[in-house]
Amino acid sequence: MCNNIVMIHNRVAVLRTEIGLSRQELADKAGVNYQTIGFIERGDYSPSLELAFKFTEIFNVGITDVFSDKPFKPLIERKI
Amino acid sequence: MKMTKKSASGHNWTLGTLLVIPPILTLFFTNLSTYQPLYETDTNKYIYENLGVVFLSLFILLTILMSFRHRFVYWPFLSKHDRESMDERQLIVRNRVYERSYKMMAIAITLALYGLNLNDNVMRQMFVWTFVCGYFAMPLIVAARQKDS
Repeated sequence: MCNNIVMIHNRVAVLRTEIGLSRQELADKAGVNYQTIGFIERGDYSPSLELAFKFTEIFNVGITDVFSDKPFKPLIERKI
Repeated sequence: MKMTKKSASGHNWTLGTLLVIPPILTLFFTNLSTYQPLYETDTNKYIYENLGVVFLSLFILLTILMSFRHRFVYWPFLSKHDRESMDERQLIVRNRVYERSYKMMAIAITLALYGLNLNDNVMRQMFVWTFVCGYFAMPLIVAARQKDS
């Protein structure tokens, strides 16, 4: 069994703030507890694929824009 | 409620300690009473027995009161009615709690039965060790009945 746990980085907090949702509102839309949103945003819990796709639907972005196995670069550093 | 407030590390030490101390004291005093001779007039046997009963009562009371709030989450036979309202992370946490509880209980029951039945007759010991083996074989039995195991 592989014990190497890959850290999954996410941009849930940024995208949630961008569309003006609170943790509770996002939790209601995704069908999870609001504490789970906090755990995901802090990187303490990696969501299932099902939940990850729910987030992409809510944020209306691709899955690689929300989740990555490498740390996200700050948006300010991205070339337009 | 302050009693159930979690520390910065996320552990609920107060609740954990309150639920661990009474059973330890119950076992300690009950065990102590068994070593007290009956024939001596100044024996503390009954004091230790009564202390055991007091701590057992305290343990039962604390278990009922402190876990009542989470009864649908952690009491196995009630939790199935509330499973749909738990999200995936809560189910993972709950399953981890069950797994660790099972391991701790397997060790505790083995030690307790070994200590209690060390000098008992052979037939009683066979019954006890069958039960202990059954406890360790239970995951294999359950897994064999699951399609995805």
